[in-house]
Amino acid sequence: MELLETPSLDSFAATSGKPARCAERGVAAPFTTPLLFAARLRLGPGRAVEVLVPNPSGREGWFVLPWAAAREALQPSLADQALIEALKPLVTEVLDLQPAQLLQAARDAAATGLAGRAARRAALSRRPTPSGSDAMREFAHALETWLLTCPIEEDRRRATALAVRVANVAAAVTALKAASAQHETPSRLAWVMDGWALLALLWQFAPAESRIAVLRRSMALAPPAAEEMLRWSGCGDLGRMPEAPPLAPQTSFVAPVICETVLAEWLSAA
Amino acid sequence: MNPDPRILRELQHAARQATNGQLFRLTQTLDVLPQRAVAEAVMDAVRPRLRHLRPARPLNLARLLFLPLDPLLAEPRDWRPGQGLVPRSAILPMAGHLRAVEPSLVTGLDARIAGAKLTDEVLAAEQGALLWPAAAKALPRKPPAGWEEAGLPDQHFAEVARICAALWRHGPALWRLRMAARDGPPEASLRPAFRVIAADGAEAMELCLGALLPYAAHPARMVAVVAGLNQALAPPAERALDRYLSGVSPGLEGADLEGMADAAARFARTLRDLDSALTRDKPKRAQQLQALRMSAAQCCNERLEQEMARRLTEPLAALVAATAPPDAAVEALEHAAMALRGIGDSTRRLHASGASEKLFAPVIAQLTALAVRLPKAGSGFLRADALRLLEILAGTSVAARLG
Repeated sequence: MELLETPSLDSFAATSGKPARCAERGVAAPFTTPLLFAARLRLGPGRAVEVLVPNPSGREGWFVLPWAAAREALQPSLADQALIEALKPLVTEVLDLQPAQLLQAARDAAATGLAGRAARRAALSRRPTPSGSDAMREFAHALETWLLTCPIEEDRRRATALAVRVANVAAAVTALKAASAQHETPSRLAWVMDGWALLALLWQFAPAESRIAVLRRSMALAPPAAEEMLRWSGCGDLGRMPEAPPLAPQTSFVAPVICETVLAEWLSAA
Repeated sequence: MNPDPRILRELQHAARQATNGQLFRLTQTLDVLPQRAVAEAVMDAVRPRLRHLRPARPLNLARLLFLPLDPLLAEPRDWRPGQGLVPRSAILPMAGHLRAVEPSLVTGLDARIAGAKLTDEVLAAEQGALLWPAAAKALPRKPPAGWEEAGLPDQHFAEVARICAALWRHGPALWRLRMAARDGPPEASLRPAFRVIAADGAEAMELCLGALLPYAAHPARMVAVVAGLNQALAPPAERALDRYLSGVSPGLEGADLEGMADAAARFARTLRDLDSALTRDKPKRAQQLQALRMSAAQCCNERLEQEMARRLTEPLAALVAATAPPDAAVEALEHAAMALRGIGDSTRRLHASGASEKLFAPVIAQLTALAVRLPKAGSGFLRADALRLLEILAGTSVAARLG
């Protein structure tokens, strides 16, 4: 993990953690800059890209920054700048940003090599990976196993709460898949999984000694369920927010090399 | 059995000369020797390197028993009474005594930890919680068998036993704090634990604090929290901090490049925390911290000078010349660049002289030139590869100007 001073974002608009629509929530982006990793992207007025960053003070809510401002305040890596450049032509004629468009942009950007050779390889090939629900169940199990070793009571409670949310995502994915044979669309699956796959990979690839910091960061980054999702078949529990201790100000972030590893794995699995 | 001093010196010399790989193999060999005295004496010569290499040592009774006392263990030749330390030579007689008086406890423990490694912190916590309090109760009143043979005078037994008793009594709580030490340890964990420890007396509190300070990410903050629990605790807590400061060292020797980058970053952060312990009535602390800063920065700078060509400029030249450099070689170069950059950043934080930046200037100039002329696609070393190295070494804004 890296200890970083977070720039003040107080001058930007804040949004609540309870979006009505998926598009309002935004799509989690596999950024490689530690401060931006798994931040969310959406289209603002005039289809301008906006980035939603969890409040670094630890309080609930996300700050909404126009990309130009985020570029100034958060100094995205070359790879992250390439991601946004790759995204722009894909959203010129749509109202909302979808997970599939972000994935395509991430592949295009990774193919430039600016996120490293592993990400470039991943952008050009795919390999078999566990299904979304299996990956989420594995993530929940990993959290439950780890919390038995966690020396800090508050973080054990955080891990318990996060594991419950992850298990709810796994259950929702299973339910959506069962329903998809009839009328559900794959895009719902993508929205339910969105952001969680990045957090699962982060947990998997972060060094063992940084688990507590990763857990706290994951709590801040955990995607809020949009209200429209709760009406989807088997997704009602996504709105359940288990009680967890409040977060402290965010100062510890995963190193860029871990963000890049997660990006490469995410591209391989997507 | 005491080893022949000449042979021991030769073995220690050979251990010091060993490569990291050889040291891993040597540790494995020494760990299974039944005669621990000789094995431990050879290891004494390379303990600073072992701290960085962290070979997976087998967990056994003696290691588990003395785990909470780690930072209070002193090499026998350096040990003096009255310093709150335990000579390493006391480990075997004390563990032997426990085996003799608590056979069922120790036999059960041997079975449960058989084949386990010292790095298994969960097992250590579980088994330590059973072992340490029992060991505190089972302490002998007089020197145990093997004490004199280990070269320990009888009159110092009481002091060693007192230290062991305090650390073993509070071993389970100390171990939990140690596992949370990278996180401070956090005040919410420190307060309740040290309220209990403090009820055992100022000496126990000072010893326990001394055993935790080397692991704490924020040692000065930790001392301030403990000292704030009770007015009477402030003097022993400050003494523990002074003792820690007089013994602390950057510990940057012996690590590989990546290990050194991590260690230097941690040390720079620790010193920043320790700055908060500077007060007018403690002028010596400012001198100590300044000396530590200078010595760590010098160590980092020397390492940069040694490694810059070997790990960065020479492999870069080879990759640029190669028709199809393997991805792994490009990634290895990036990792080396990150480690060197990390060491450079820590050097600047430790001692703002800017000398280390001069070492990076030639390779940054070379990469700037490469980023302009290299192809965007193909099987060779690419423009993106050069830009990434430039981003690592000079920052995103410098690389973005060329991107």
